[in-house]
Amino acid sequence: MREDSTLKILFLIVLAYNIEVFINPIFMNVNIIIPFSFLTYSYFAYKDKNGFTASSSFLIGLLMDLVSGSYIGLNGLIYCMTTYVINSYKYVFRLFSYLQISIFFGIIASTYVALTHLFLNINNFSYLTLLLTLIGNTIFSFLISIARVYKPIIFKRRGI
Amino acid sequence: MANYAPNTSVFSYVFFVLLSSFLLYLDFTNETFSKPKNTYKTSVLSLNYFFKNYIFEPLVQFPELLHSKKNLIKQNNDLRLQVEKEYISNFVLSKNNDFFLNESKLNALVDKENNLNKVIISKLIKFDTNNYFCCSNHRLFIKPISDEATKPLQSAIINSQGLIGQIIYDLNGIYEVMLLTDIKHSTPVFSENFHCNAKGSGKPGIITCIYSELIWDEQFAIGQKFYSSGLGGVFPKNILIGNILDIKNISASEKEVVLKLKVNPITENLFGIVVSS
Repeated sequence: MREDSTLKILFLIVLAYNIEVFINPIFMNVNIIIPFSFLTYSYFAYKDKNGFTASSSFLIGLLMDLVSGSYIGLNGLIYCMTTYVINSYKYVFRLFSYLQISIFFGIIASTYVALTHLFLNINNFSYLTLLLTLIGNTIFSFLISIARVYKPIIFKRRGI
Repeated sequence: MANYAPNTSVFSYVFFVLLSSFLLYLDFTNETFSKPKNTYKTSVLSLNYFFKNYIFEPLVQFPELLHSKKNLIKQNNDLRLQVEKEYISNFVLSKNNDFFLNESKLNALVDKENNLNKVIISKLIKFDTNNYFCCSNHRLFIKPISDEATKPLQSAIINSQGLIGQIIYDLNGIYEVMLLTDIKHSTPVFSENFHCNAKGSGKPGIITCIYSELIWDEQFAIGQKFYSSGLGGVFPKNILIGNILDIKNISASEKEVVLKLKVNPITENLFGIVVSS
C-alpha cells in the first residue's frame, strides 16, 4: 500500500482546520464540536503502516498550534499522546468492527475537545457539550467509514 | 511481507510530552511565544489581504468588466460603504453628551467639515467565528480604509450599534481587536450609582459583574441598563453596553450580574476606531 507523503498530510490537516472554522459555528448551536483537523491527523496516524513517530506528531502539533492560534504546546501534547495510543493498539484495531473503531475515534475526539477546552474555554466548560461531541463524532466517523464501502464503483476502479 | 512494528518507545513519547507541557506552561503563564505567533498572524493576514484584494477580486470582477458593469458595481460598493460610514458617524453624533472625554472635543468634531476625522473607518480583515462561538478567545482583525498616520493602540472600537472592544496589537497596520466578551477583557460600566469592571465571559454577547452584597446592598432588576463609565480613559462614557440578563448567587456574600450586550460584532464588516486625542 502506498504511503502518504508528509506534505500531503500537512496540507490535508490544515485544509481540515479551515473547514472546521467554517462548519463548527453551525454545529455549536447544538453543542457539538467536530475537530476535523484532529480527526484527519488521527486518521493518518491510524492508516500509516509504520505509525507516526513521537517527533513528527509533536512537530505537526506545533504547526497546528501556530495555525489555530492556541497556546504553543497544546496540540503538540495531545497529538503525541494520541499517537502513542494509536500506535500501541495498531494491530488490535484490525480485530475491531467499523462501529468499534468509530467509537474509538469519537472518544479521542471528545478527549481532544475536553483538553483544549480546559485551556481555552475553562469558564464555559460543559459536560453536555462533551457528551454530545462524543455522540456526534462517533456518528460522523461511522458515516465516513461506511462511505468507503458504499462509494461509487468508478472511484474504486481508479483506486481513489 | 513482514509488517513493521509501530514506534511505541515510551521514552521518546515521554520526552515530547514533557517538552510540550513545558512549552504550554511557558505560553499559558507568561505568553512567551506571543511574538512569533503575532509574526505568523501578520504574515498570514497580509497574504490573505493581498490575494483577496489584488488577485481574487480582480479575477472575479473581470467578467463583469467585460459586460460594462464595472461602474455600476463600483457605485454600488461606494454607496454601501458610505451608508455604513454614515451609520457609524450617526452613532457618534447621537451620543453628543459625553462621547469624547470633554464636550469641547465633540464640538470640534462636529464643527469640522468631515465629521469622521476622529473616528477612523476600518474594514474587517478576519474574524475567527469558530473561536468566538466555542472558546474564550474573542478577537478580530481590522484594517483602516485610509492610510492615516495614527497610533490607535488601546483605542475603542465601535460599529453602528455601539462599543465592541479595543485594539490590543498593531500588526503592521492590521489591528487586533479584543472584544468585550473576551475572557481577558474588562469593561468599566455603571448603572445609576453602581460601578464595576465587567469581565468578558467567553460566551458570545455576555459579560459579567461580580459584587459583594456587604458593599452594595441595593437590588438590581432584570433588564436594567448598564452604560460605559469611561474610567480608565479607553472607552467613551455613557454608551449603552447592555441589559441585565440574570443575577446569580456565587457565594454567601457575592453576586454575579450577567449582562447581555447590545452589540453583536458579527453583523457588520465596517468598524470605527475612536481616536479621542
